Order: sequence, then C-alpha cells, then structure tokens
Amino acid sequence: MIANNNVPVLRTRDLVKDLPMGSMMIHILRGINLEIGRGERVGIIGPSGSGKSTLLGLMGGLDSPTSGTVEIDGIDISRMGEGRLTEVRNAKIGFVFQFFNLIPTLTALENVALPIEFAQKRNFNPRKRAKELLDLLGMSDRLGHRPTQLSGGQQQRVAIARALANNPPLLLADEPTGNLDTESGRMVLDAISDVQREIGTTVVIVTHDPGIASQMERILTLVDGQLVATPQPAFNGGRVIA
Amino acid sequence: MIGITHLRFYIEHSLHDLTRNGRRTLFALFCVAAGVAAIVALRTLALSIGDTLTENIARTNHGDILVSARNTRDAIQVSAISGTGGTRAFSPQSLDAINTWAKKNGVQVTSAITDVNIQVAGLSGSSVGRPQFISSLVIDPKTYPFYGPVVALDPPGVPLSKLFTGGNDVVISDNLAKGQNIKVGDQVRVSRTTEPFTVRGIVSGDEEGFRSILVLFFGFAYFDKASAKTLQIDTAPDEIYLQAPPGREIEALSENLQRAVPTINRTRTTDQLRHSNQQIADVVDRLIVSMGLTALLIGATGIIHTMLVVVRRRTVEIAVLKTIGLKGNQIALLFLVESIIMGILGSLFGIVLGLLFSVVVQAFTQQIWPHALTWRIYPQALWTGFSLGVLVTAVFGFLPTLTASRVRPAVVLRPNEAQLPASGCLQTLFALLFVIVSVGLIVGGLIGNFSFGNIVINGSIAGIIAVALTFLALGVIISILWFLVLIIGRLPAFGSVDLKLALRGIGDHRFRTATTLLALIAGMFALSTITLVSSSVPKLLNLGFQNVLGGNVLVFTPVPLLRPLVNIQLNSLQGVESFSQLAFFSGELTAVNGDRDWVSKVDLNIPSFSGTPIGDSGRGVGRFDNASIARASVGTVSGQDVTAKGYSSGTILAGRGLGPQDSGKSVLVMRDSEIVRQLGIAPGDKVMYRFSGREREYEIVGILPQASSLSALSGSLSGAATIPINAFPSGVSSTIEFTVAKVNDTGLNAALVAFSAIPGVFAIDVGFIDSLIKKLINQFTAIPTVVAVLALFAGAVIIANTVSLATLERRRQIGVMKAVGLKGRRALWVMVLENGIVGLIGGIIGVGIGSLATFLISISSGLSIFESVDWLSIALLMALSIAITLAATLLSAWTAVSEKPMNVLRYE
Repeated sequence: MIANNNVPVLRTRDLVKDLPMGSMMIHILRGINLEIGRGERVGIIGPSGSGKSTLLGLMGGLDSPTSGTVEIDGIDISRMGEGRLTEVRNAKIGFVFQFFNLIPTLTALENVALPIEFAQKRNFNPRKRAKELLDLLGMSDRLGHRPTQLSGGQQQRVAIARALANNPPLLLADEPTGNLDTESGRMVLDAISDVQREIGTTVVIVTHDPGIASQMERILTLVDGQLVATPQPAFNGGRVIA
Repeated sequence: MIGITHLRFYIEHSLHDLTRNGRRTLFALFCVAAGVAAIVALRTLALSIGDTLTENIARTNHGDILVSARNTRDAIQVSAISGTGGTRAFSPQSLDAINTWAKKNGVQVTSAITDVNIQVAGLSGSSVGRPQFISSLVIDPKTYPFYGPVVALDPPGVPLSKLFTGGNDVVISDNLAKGQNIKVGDQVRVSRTTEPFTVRGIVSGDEEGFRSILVLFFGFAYFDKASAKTLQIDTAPDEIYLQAPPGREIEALSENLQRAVPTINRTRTTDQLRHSNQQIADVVDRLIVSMGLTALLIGATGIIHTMLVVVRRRTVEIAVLKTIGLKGNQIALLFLVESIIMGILGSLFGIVLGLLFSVVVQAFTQQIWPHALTWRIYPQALWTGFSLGVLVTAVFGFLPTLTASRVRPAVVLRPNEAQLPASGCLQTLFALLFVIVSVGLIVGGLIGNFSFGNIVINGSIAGIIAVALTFLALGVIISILWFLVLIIGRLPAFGSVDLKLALRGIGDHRFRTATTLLALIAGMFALSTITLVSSSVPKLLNLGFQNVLGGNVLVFTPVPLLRPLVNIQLNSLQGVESFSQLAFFSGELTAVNGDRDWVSKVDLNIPSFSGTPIGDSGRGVGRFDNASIARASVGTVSGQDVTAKGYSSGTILAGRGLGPQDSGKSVLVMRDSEIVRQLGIAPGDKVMYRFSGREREYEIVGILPQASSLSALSGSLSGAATIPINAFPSGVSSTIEFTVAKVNDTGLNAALVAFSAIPGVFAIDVGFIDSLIKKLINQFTAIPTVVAVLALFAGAVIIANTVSLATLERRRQIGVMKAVGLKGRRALWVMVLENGIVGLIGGIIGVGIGSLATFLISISSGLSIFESVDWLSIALLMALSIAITLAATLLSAWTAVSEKPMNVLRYE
C-alpha cells in the first residue's frame, strides 16, 4: 500500500480505556485526541499510572479501547478483529519493549527475521533483511547468538532491528532504556535515532526519563489519563489537539 | 504456637496460589487424579474378583468335601470308546468304600462325570449347526449340587432337578445357548450319538465357571446320568461331593474319611479351598494394585513438572519472602504444603473419577471373568487410592521445593533476570534417596513379605531395591530421551518458520519433554504390545497350522478300527478337497549315504527345534551322548498317505514331492535344516533311519523348506522328513496319528457333524483352535489392557499438563509473537505441531518397541512379517498417540493463544 503523506501516521479520537479492578472501574485514559505525522519523533511522558503504556498498547493495536478510535495510516484499527489486527501490527507497527522480549529459543538473526516470515506478503528476504538491519545496528558479529548470550544493550538493539524488519511506518517503544545502564541506554537511543534518520520511520517513545524525552521533536505529557499542555523542545513541530 | 501460625500461613498462602492459578492447578490435580483413579478402579476390581473367589465357597466346591478320582490310588483308566477319553474314574472298590463310610457317618453323597469333552450342535429341521466343543457334566439331577441349587434362567426359576424328564434331555449354559443360538425346546446333536437331545433348560454359565477353560469360553451342558448309555460314557464318576451332617467339623470328617478309605490320597474341604482362593485373591490384589501404581507414578511426573513451574514462576515471590524473613527450610515447607494440598484435592478428585472408571473396568473384565462381579464401593480401595495419592504427590513434589529454598533474596533487585538456582549435588542425592526409599516402602507395603525357596524376603527391602533399580533404568531411559529431544530441537526446519518454532520449543525444555515422552511411550508400549500380540499370535498360529499341516480340519481317531470308517466319510463328504493321514514316528538318522559317522561331520553347536544347541540338550541327562542326540534331532519323521485324494507334499525347494507312485516305496522328502545344509544332502542321496530298532534305507527325492521355529508346530508336526505311511519298517508304531483334511467353507460344517457322530472320533477345525487361542489371549490380556489404558490416560493427562505449563511459561512469548504479527490460530498451530511431533515420536518408539515382540515371533517362525503383523493396528496405534497429544494440546492451549497481547505483556 502506498502511504499518503498528508494523512497522519497515527491519529486517535476521544480514546477512552477503562479497566475493571475488583468491583471498581478504573478510568485509565479519558479521551485522548492526537495526531502524529510521518517521520516524527514523539516522546510520551507522565507519572506512574498516568496511562502511558496503555496508550502505547492502544496505538499499537495490542489492546482495544473502551471507546474512541485509533487510526494507523488512515485505517481505523479500534474495532478490527484479532486476525486483521495482527496483520496491521506486522506490516505497519514495530514494537520495542523495556524487557526486550526476544524469543529465547531463536538466535538474533532468527528473531529479526521472524516478522518477515510471519508477513502475509513478504517485501524482503527474511535472512538478508535481518542481516542488513543487524549490520546497521552494529550487531553483525552476534548474528548466531541467542538472547541469553547477549548483553541487555545488545538484546535491545536486536529488538529494534526486529521492530524495523518489515519497514513499518510506526515504531513504538515502551521505556526502551529502562532496563539498561547509561552507556547501553545511550547506544540504544543513538541506534533508534540513526535508523529513524536512515529509514524515516515515525518513532513514539514512552519514557520516565526527561533526558530522553528532550531528544524528541515533540513531547506529550499524560496526567491521570489526559494529555496536558507541555513545553516543547526547541525544534518542536508537532501539535497537540487537547 | 508459632508453628501453628506458620502452618496456617503456609496453608492459606498455598490455597491462594492454587485458586488464583486455577487452570494450572486443575491440570496438576488431573495428574494426581488420573493415577489415583487407576488405583481405585483396579483395587475395586481386585477386591471384587477376590469376593467371587472366596464367597459361596461350598457352592464352588460343590459340597463340604470334594474327592477326585485323580487323588485315589486305585483309579481306573476309562477307555476312549466307552467312556471319558482316557481319563481316570473311581474304582468300584473305592466307590463302595466311600458310600459305606458316608452311610455310617450320615454324610450325603452325589457324584459327577466331569471330564467328558463333547461337541454340541444346534438342529434346525434337517440342517445342523457348527459342532461346538464344550465341557459336559453327567450328574444325578436329584442330588446335584448340594449347595446353591442350580436354577434355570429359562424357564425362569425352575431347579435343575425339575428340568430333566427322563428322556434324552440336556440343560445348557447361557454362553453355549448364545453362541449356538439355541433355545429351550430346541433339539441338539451331541457327539458320540446320532440320537437328538432336547434342551430342557438354560442355566447361567456362572454355575460351573471355575471348572475349565472350555466351560468359561464355550459353555457346558448337564446330562442326566441316565443318558450315559446313550452317550456311550462309562458310568463310573470321577468326582464325588460330600455334604456333612449339621454340626460336624468338616476337617475332622475329611481326615476320618481318608483313614476309613485308604485309597484316597487327598480331599478338598471348603476351608482348604477358601484358604487357597484367598491366597490367589491376595496375589491378584497385590499384582493389580502394583500395576495401578505405574499409572500413579506416571501421573506423579506431572507433579514434578508443575511444582518446578510453580517455583520458577514464583522466584521473585520467594526472594521477597526471604527478604522479609522466611528461612530456606520454611520456603521448602511452604511449597511442600502446597504439593500436599494438591495431593489431597487431586486424590479426592481421583476417588470420584476412580469410582466411575471402576464401573467401566468391571464391565470390561466381566466379559472374561467366569463369575458375576458385583460392583460396590470398597472403602479399602478408596483409602488405598487416597493415601497413595497424597504420599506420592508429597514425595514427588518434594524435589522441586528444595530448589525453592535456594533462591537468593537479591533476586528482588533484578526481577527480570530471576533464574531458578540448580539444586546442589548433595541435596539432589539426598532428595533422590528420600524419593527411592519412600516409594520403595510404598511398593514394599503393597507386595508384602514373600518367600523364595526357604528364604523369606522382606517386602520393604525388596521394594526399595526394585524402586532403586527402576529409577536407575528410568534415569538411563530419560537420559537417552533427553539426547533425542536435544537432537530433534536442532533438526533443520527446511525454511518453515512454524516448524522452526515447534522444534526449538521441543528442544527448549528437554527434561520436561523427555519425561512427557516417557509417560507417552510407557502407555503406548503397553497398549501396543497387548494389541499387537493379541492380533498377531492367532494369525501366526493359524498361518502356521495351515502351512505345516496342509489342511484345516484335524480328525483324531484313537481307535485304529475306526479309521476305515473315517476314510469312507472323507471320500464321500462334499467339500473335502484333500485329506491325508498323518502319523509321527520317533526314530534316529543312522547313516547318510552309507556313512554311519555322519555326526562327526557336523557342528553340533547349532540350535535344535527347542532353540538350545543340540550339543547342550543332553547335558545333565547323562545316558545320552551327543551323537545319539544329534541323530534323534532329525529323527522325528512324519508318515503320510501319498495316495490320498488331492495329496501334495507342499512347497519343494529341490527335486520333487511325494505322489501316489511312491506308495510303499523307500523314498522320502527331507526338510531343509542346518544339519542337511552342513552335510550337503540333496535329492538322489540315501539316508538310513532306525525306528524301534529296525533300520530302513530311503532315497531322498526332494527337499522341503525349513520349518518355522514355532517349535510346537514345526518340530512336532512337520518332522525332519516325510515318508509314505506304508513305507515304514513293519511292526513300527506311530507316536500320534490323525487325519488332516482340507475342507472348503461350504462343506466344513457337514464334515464336522459327520465326524462328531462317530463315537470315539473327534474333529477339530482350525477355526476352533483360532477362537480358543483368541479367547485365551483375551482373558490373559484383559487386566493388562485395563492397566495399559489407564496408564495411557495418565500419560495423556501428563501431556495436557505439560502443554498447559508450556503455554503458561510462554504466554509472554506468544504475546510478543502476536505483537510482531503471528496470528492466534497460527500460534496454536505451532503448539499443535510441536506436540504432534512429540506424539509422533512417542508413538514411533512406544508402538515400535511394542511391535518388536511380534516381529521377533514372526521372524523366528519363518513367516513374513508382512503376512503376520497387524499393520492396521500399528497405524491406528500411531494415530492414537498423535491424537492424544493433539487433543491434550487443543484442550490446554486453546484459550492461551487467544488472549490479547497487551494483557499478557502487562501482567507477565
């Protein structure tokens, strides 16, 4: 599918997520409206329990909203069936998690090739593409290693390569440096910036770390499930529709 | 008080964990329940069988005291033509002495002729049904039996004494009536006479169930002793039943009888029968419960898996508990309490399941057990199941809890890197020792003390040794399977990502997969051995009979005078394609081409028909030297009537077969054997045979194929050579003679009926032998089949548990894969593929080893395995193995793969 550059990569409208907690209903997200353009780098910050990860999950189609819509490349995914949703995730979204979540039984190369092998329509040769991405991320000497044989930083770089395997327009990262030391964290962020520049992928990072957020083009702040106005970095080009 | 507070905390904490992880708990409980259910069902069966053996003992004994002609010194041999086929009966002197003693002591007497095997066929107008071999009892209906009056099922409630009218009457068992479709009022043909008999009643087969295999399998018939003359049976009984007057001590009375009638060696009183039956019941009970323990031990491996996963998933929780002050041994105790709670709940569940199983097991066993089994709840069966269930769960749950105690509190700082510590060598050794001793004591308690010659062996010690050896063997098997799993995990996936994930999944948890495989293999092996042997042995024997004998009906004519009569029948009967008289002569091969020292030219270290080297078979006997043994080993020769209608020597390897032109001539066909090959014997050579001291030289005209080593068939029935029956030295008598006829299906019945009408002649068709063998095999394999099915059920539960644990452990992995594009049904397919491979391997190994016995029998019989092995059963068993694993996978993985990735990633 050829992307329409005028359509935002991600758009949410009145996004609400409630979760039952015993006999109570917790309102995690209370009507989120936002648009993220092609190639943007956006940071989502907020205190613990503000709904950052839930918002990321809804953006990525990992969960379905209580109400409201989520559009990826102009396609509403909020009411999609699980099968179709899986296809959208595979083709249009890359995920990077705090705890890497690599498949322990597969090597670095096999982990990266996996989304291509799962794809309905393959645009790449799985092994060739995986090798290219791992080369790009400086992991060419670790192709045959399993996750347990890699350091945290290396695992996260493999996870980034896996997220980019199908060349998705959107990369969602949940605290990607949260489980890494400073040096590894810096290397991972550099890696994300490099591939974003190289490939032009839109990047959305959820983080606690104001230092990381400041490296983003735009910052969205969540408080109690709502977006609040936030001072933007100098190169801000994004918009918040509150 | 602190102890009680701690215990309450352990119980509450364990219950919370079990209820919050309901799915995992349910599968673990099923593992325990499957084993306990097997024990409850099998023990209920064993106790029920024991009841039939020990209840109504006077009825089983047919009186307070039984005296058998076999146990008298002056028993008379009853001739075949007039009586009971060469068996023993009471002498007139003994009969008189017993009757006189009985009158003097106020003892009631009745008797029976029990050892008469006759054939019965239904009559419908002019057509006669297939003669059926049965056991018959010639009795005095007025006095037989003393206990538990035999009452007819049809006409209902009429006692045996009222069924006989004084004519040619017969009362038959229900299994005979069913098998032959005979009803009350029908006329039947009975062998030994052409006079028809009328069926006056049908009684339960249970009435004489313990007498013989014929009674059990094919039924029996009561004849009034007044009909003995019609049946040409000698009236001398072979069993006497005595009823003591009220208040007399039976043992004392029995001793008194033996003193008064010194020809009696032995009697059987009700107490003696009860004692011996109780011993049998105890052995059956122990044996069956020990077999049930197998299913429980298979189920217990599921507990190890579950506890390992529980501990692994709760590593952080353990670390937190340690951080707040719980000691290592308290942690171990906490998990031990959890496994004991699982044992208690699982055992209670197993009891309910076991009671349901016991109804099915009993109904199945009833098909082959001669007495009516009454289903009832036996508290001791429930207790055995419960206590063993809790004990085995606690013992097997103990090992993983040790690793829990070794978790370091520092894990709380890095929860995502939490790994389960390996237990130390000493700790593992101690735990293993504990498990072996505990299970050994359980087994020892089940088998009890037993004697081996004069040495009494302590059951507990024997149990511990047996369990230690079993564990050693299991250790070796699991190690082999572990390596197999390792190799499978590294097999190439040929570009298929699903196969790659499945293979890696298999290789990821090698111990768990290896033990799961073992459980599946054990169940499949047991079931396939029983199934394949049951289906192949009759097939093999049937093929063997027909190949070796060259016919399907054996006509035995013990009285030579009747042979011409038999031959006339054979020549005139429709459907008789060929027949040949067969006689066996025992002789020695004394010379080969004039060489009387031929023995020195052969290597005697070759197997004889019995499988032992010929050179060894004479050892310990003393009076035979190797040479005479070797001569005799090729000395059994069959004599055949080469002029008979349609006669053929069968397949010939070299030269020609015998024919009518050879009648009376000194020619023979030699059967190929190791000796024949070593001596280079070929058509044209001459051999000298000696029978009963008389020698005769024969020219070899042909070589027959080597005999199969089904020794009973080939060694005894085919012989080393075949000579025309009228070409033996004069005055030499055969060891056994019968006629083999090849009768087609349409003429078979008429032929059997015709022969059964000649007194003293009986004919057996191969189909009868086949059905007898099938029934025998069914009887012997019934209980092992029940055990195998229950073990397989336990194996299936283990697989379901393993898959459930695997999905539980891989929830996050499945969530991640779904996040990167793996659809739910494809995730399920990967699990199905993974476990299908395990099922296939389990099937190949289990069914493969199970088939080995059949293959070996086939090969050693010289028969093609393609002909004799039941390939359909093998395919079905393999399919069953895969189906079990697939069903278990779908059952336990279905919901796990349909979860939303966010739920998994948030909470895992």
